Amino acid sequence: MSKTEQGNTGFCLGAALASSLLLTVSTGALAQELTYSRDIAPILQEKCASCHNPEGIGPMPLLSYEQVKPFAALIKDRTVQRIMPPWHIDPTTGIQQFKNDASLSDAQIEMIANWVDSGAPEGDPADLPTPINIPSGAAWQLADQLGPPDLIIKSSPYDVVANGQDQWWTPNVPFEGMEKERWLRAAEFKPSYPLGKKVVHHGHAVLIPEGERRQVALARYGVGKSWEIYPEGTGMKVPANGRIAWNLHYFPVGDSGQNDVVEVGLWFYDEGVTPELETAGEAMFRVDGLNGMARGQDIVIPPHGYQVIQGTHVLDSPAVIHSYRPHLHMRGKVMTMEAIYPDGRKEVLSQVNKYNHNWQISYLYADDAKPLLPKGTVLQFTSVFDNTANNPLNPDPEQWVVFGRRGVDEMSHAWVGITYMNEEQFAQAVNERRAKQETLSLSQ
Amino acid sequence: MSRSIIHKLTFSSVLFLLPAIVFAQQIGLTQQYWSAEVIRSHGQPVIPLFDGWFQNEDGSNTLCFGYFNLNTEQALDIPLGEANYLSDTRYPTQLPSHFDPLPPRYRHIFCAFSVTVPEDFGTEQKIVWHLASAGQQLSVPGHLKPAFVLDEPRSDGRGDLAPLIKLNPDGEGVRGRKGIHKQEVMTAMVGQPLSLEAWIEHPDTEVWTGWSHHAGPGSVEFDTQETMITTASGHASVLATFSEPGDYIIRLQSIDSVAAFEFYCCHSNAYYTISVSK
Repeated sequence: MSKTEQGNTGFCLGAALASSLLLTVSTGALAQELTYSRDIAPILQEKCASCHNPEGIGPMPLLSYEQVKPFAALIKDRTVQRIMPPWHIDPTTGIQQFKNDASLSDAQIEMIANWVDSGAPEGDPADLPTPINIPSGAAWQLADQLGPPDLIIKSSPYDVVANGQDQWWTPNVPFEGMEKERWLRAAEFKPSYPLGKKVVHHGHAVLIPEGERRQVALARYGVGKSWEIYPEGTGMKVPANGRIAWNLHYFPVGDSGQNDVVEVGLWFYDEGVTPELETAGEAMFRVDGLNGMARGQDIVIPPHGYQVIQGTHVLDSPAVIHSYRPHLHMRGKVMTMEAIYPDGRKEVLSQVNKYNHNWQISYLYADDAKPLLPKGTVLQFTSVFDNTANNPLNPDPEQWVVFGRRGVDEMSHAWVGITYMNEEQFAQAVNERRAKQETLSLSQ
Repeated sequence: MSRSIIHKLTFSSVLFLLPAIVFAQQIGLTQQYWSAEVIRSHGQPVIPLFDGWFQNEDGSNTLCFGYFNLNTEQALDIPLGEANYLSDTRYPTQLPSHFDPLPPRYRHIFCAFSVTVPEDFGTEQKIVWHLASAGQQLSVPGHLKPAFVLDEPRSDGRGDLAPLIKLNPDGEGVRGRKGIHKQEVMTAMVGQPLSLEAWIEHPDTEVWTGWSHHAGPGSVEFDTQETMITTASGHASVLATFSEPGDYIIRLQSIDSVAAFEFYCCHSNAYYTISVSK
C-alpha cells in the first residue's frame, strides 16, 4: 500500500469512527424511530438521485431500499465525512446561499448515521415519497424546464482511447443554423451517454464570429457543471455566423469507443427580445502566471509540501457575479475569492476548501446573494496546492509539480459567471436588492 | 472589463497568509511550503522534474526528465558527480550539466534527457535524479506509475506528432524524446563557430527548433538559439561558438509548435558531442 493510501485510510477510519461514536451517544434514542421509507428516501431522492440512478454518473443507483441497503455503511461513511454529496464550499465563510446547494445539513447527516446504526430498517413502503422524474442520461437536463433546445451544435467525432495520457480534442467546425443574431438565454453541454459522461472531464464550445477576433463562450463544461441559465433580463449576444472552436479534455478511464460526439444545446430569447444586460458567461480569472510571465510559470510545488499563489483582477466596470467555479488539478486544495472594495473593505465572497479535481462544480449564487461589485473592486483569488501524502488524489507526493495541461500537472484559475453593467444599471440593481432586503426585514 | 495584476507573495507574506488562510482550512503545516515568488534573476536553484514515461515497441520503457531553472538571467553549471547524478547508473543516459535560465515564455525545459529501463522494471521501482544548486539538495524520482504515462511519438487527440530528425540528409531518422545521437565526435576550436545541422521531417509546414548547451565547461553562444523552420527543406542549422576547451554536448529539440510542450507530446531530441580545443 502506498503512503497516500495509508494516510487516507487512516484518516477515513478515524473520522468515521469518531463521528459514529459521537452520534450514537448523543441521539441513540431517536435512531430507533428512523426508517428508509419515511426518513432516508426523501434525502437520497433530493440530494443523491440525480447522479445515483441507472443512467447517472454515480457508480450505483440509490433509488430503492434494495439498492440502498447494501451500501448503507458506505453511505454513512461518505456523508459523515462530507465526501458525498460533492459540495466543496467552506460553510464557515463567505456567501452560503446557492441555487444548486447539494450539501446535506448536519441534521440530515446525523439522521442517516443513526438510521444505519440502528440496522437500516426499511419501514413502511407506504411512507415513501412520490418518485421523481429523472431525465435519461442521454436527455437534455434543461428540457423539463425549457423544452427542447432551439439549436444543437455538435463536435466532430472522436475515437476515444481506453488508456494513456490525457487527450485534448480541439476540432473547429462551422457554426450553422441561425439566420440572424440572437440572444442566448441558456446553454447545456452534453457529452454522449454513456461513454462521453465517463471520459469527458471538461470542455468548452467557443464561437469565433466571422471576421472578428473576439470569442463568444457559448458553453463550458466540467464534471458537476453542465448547464447555465442566465437570469431573466440577461443574455449573451450570439452572432449568426462563425466557427465553433471546441476544446474537449478527454481523460482515459479504461473505456474506448469510436465516433464520440459532444453536443451543446442552445436556448434563445424570443426573436425581437433584447435583454437589458449582456453577460460574458463564465469568464476566466487567472490565479497563476500573471504580469507578463508565461501562464503557470509561478507554480512550483515542492515534494511533500504546499504552495500558495494569488492573482488579482481589477473590475473596470460594475458587475454582478452569478457563479464561481474554481479550476485546479490533483494538488488543488483551496481557492478563495475575495472582493477588495474601492473603500478598502475586504470580504470573502466564497471559499472552496475541499477542492476535488474529479469535480468541477459551479456554485450558482442565489439571486439575492449574488455579489454586486462596484467599479474598481479588486477580485483577489488565493489558491493553495497540497502536494503531501494527506491529499488522497495526489499520484506521487515525491514529485516537484509545475504547470501543465495534464491532471498530474497543475494550473489555477477560476471560471466566474459575470455580467458587467454601466453605472445606471448597477445603481438600479443595488436599489432593487436593498428594497428586497428591507421588505424581508419588515416581514420578519 | 477587468485588468489582471500579479500579487507577489514574499517569503514573509506567505508566513503571514498561511495561518490566516491555510491553517483555517485544517491543512497541516508541519511540512515545507514554497513562496510564490519563485522566479528571480539570480540565486535560485534548478528544479529537477520528472515529465513521465512511455513504452517502447520492444517492451522496454523510457523515463523522461526535464528541469526548471528558476533564474531568468543566471545559467547554472552543475558538474556530474555528487551534485548531479542518478540513483541507478546501470542504464545509459545523457545527463545535462548546463542549465539555461528560463526564457519568459517557457514553463520549463521538457524532457532534456531520458533513461530507458528494461521491460521487467517494476512500477514500484524508481530512478532518482539528484541535483544540488544554490545551496539546496533537490531530487525527483522517475517511475512507471500509470498516471504519468506519456503519448509517444504521437498524440491522437491534438494530432501532434514528434518531428523526425536526421543528422545527415540521407541517414536514418529518429522521432521522439529518446533522441538521436550523432555517432562521431565533432571537433571545434575555442572562439571559432562550428556549424551544426539537422534535417527535419513533419507533416506541418513549419516546426520549432531550439538549440541548447546541454553539457560541457565554459559557455556556448548560438547565432540563433530557437527558430521556426520550414519543413519543405527541413534543414535546421546553427553556429555554435565555445568559450573554453573541453567536451561538450549540444541538444537540439524540435516540436510542431512551442505551445505544444505543455501538452507533453510530442517533441524530438538530438544530441551532438563536440571536442573543443584551444
